[in-house]
Amino acid sequence: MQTDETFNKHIVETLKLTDATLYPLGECAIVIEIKAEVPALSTANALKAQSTMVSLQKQLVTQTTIQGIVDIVLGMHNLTVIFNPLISDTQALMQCLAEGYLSAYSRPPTDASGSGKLIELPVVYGGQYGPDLIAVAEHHQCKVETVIEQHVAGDYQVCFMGFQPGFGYLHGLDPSLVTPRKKQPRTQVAAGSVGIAGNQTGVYPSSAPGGWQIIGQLAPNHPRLFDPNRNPANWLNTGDRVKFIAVEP
Amino acid sequence: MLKVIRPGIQASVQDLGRRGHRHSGVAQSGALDHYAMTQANYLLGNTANEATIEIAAGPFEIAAQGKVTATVTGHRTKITKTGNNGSVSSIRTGQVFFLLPGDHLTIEPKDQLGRCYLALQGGVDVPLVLGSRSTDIAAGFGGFEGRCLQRNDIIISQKSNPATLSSMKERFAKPESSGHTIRVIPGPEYPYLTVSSQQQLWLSDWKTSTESNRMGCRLIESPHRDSAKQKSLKLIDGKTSLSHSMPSHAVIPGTIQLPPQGMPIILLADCQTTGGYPRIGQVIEADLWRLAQMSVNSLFRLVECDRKTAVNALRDQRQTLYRFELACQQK
Repeated sequence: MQTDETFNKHIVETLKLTDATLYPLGECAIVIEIKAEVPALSTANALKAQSTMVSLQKQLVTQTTIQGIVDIVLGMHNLTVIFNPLISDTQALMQCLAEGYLSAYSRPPTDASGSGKLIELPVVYGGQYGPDLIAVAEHHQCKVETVIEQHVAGDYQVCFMGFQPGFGYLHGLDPSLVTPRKKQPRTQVAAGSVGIAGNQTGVYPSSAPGGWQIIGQLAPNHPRLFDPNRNPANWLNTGDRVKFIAVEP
Repeated sequence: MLKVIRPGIQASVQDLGRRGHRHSGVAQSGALDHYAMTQANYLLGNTANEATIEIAAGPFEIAAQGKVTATVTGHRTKITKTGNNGSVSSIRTGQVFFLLPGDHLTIEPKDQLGRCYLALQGGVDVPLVLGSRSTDIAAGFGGFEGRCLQRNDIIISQKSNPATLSSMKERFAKPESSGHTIRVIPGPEYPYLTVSSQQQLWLSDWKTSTESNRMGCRLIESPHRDSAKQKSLKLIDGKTSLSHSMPSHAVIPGTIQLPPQGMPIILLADCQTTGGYPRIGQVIEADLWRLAQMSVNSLFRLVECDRKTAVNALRDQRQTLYRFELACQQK
C-alpha cells in the first residue's frame, strides 16, 4: 500500500492536476485547493473558480462510492471533506476529489454565476454601528462616505456558507475596499455587524469573536439570518446575489 | 426532575453534537469530553448519545423534585449529596447514585475548566434541533433554551425504565488519566513556521489561558502568566502575509490556528466552521477529550504524530468504549 504522499504525487502526475493541490488536515479531513498563483483567482475569474468548487461539492454529496463522508465544507477556492477514517478509503477519496475537480472545471459554470435570487440587506453604516469604518477609510486614505458608497454600489454573490450559521461569504467587494483583518481579533462582535476582511465582506448573524473590520450593522427589524426552526434555516444561501442598502438608524 | 439551585459557570446541556451541518455554517457543539460523557451514559444503561449536563466550573447545585438515578464523570470533582433529613454523603466520580425528592446534590470540579458530566437515566429531555440536543451557546439555540443553565431552571429526564432502576448495581468507572501530552499532526501551514517556532511548539510547556471557552483553548506558555511576555510563534519570511489574509477555509475541532499576535488557539467543539488564520496543527481525534481536562492549572506538551498512529489511536478508543459498554450491560 502506497503512502498517501506517494499516492498524491501519482494522482497529480497521471491526471495532470496542475491547478489544484490536495492535502490532509489531520487524519479526518482532506482539502482540495486551487493554487493561489493560478490565473483563475484574478478578479475576473474568481467566480468561475468558485463555481467549480460549488459544482464539485454537489457531485460529492450525490456520489455513493466513497463511504464514511461526514461533511463537505466549501471555503474560498477550496473544499474540505470531513470523513470517518475508520470507514473511508482515503486514497479512493483523493482520487475522487482530483477527478471530480477536473470534470467540474471543464463544465460550464452553474451556481455562483449570477443566476441566484436577489437579496437586499438594509444596513446602518458607521458611528456606534460601524466601529472600524473610520479605520478602513484611513487605511485607504479616503472619506468615510466614499467607503459607504463603494460598499453599497457592489453586486455581491454568496460563494459559500461558513463561520457562523447564516453567514454567507460574499464575492464582489470593490478592490479599493480590500482591507486586512484586525491584528488582534475582538473577543465579541455584535450580531448583525457588517464587516470586511481581505477581499471578502459579510454580515455576522449572531455575536461572536472575530477579526473582521466592522463598518455597519443590519437594520434591527430585518428577519434573522439564521433560524433553526425556519425552513430554510439560512436567509442567504450559496449562489444568491446580494445588494446592501444604506438606511438611517 | 431537577431544579437548578446554583448554576456554576457555563453549565449546558450537551449530547455528542450535531454532525453533518458544517456546510451550512452550523458548529458541531456537543460534549468537549465525549469520552467521559459516553461512559456516564453507559453506566446508567443509556445509549451513548443521551443528553447530559456539562459543567466547566462549580459549585453546581441541584435539588431533586422526583426520583433520579444519576452519575458524574470527568474531571476530579467533589460531589456531595445532602438528604432531605439533613444527612450528608460523599459520592465518587463514576458512581451510580439515587436521589429522592428533596435531596440536594452539589458538584465542584477541583479545577476551573476541568469539565465534568452529570448524566441522568433516560437522558436530559430537551427538544431535538437540527438532529441534536446540544446547546450552541454562540448561536443561541438547542439544548436548554439555547443557553447555559441558570438558577431555577427545571431539568426533566426522559422516562427511564423502572425495571433497570431496581436491578442497577453499584458501578464504578475509573477515571482515565488525561495525561500531560496532546498528539498533534502538523497542519498545512506548519512548514511556514520558522524552525525555532516549530521547536517552540513541541518543546514548550503549554497552559490553557483563563480566556479559553468551548470555542477554543487559547494557549499560553508556562511560566509566563503575563501574555505580554509570551514569545510569539513566527512565520518565515515570504509567508508572513498569511497571518493576516488567507482565503477562508474549513476548520474543525482540534485545528490549531496561529492568529497574528502569535499565540496558538486550539479550536474546540463550539468553534466556527471556517477560518482565515494559518492552520499549524491538528489535534488527533482520539486526544480531543484530553483538551477538555486541561484545566487552568494543567501543564501539557504537544507531541508530533502521524496519521497512521492517529487512526490506530481512534480505533483503540472506540474498542475500549465498546468493551466498557458491554461490561456495563452485564447483570
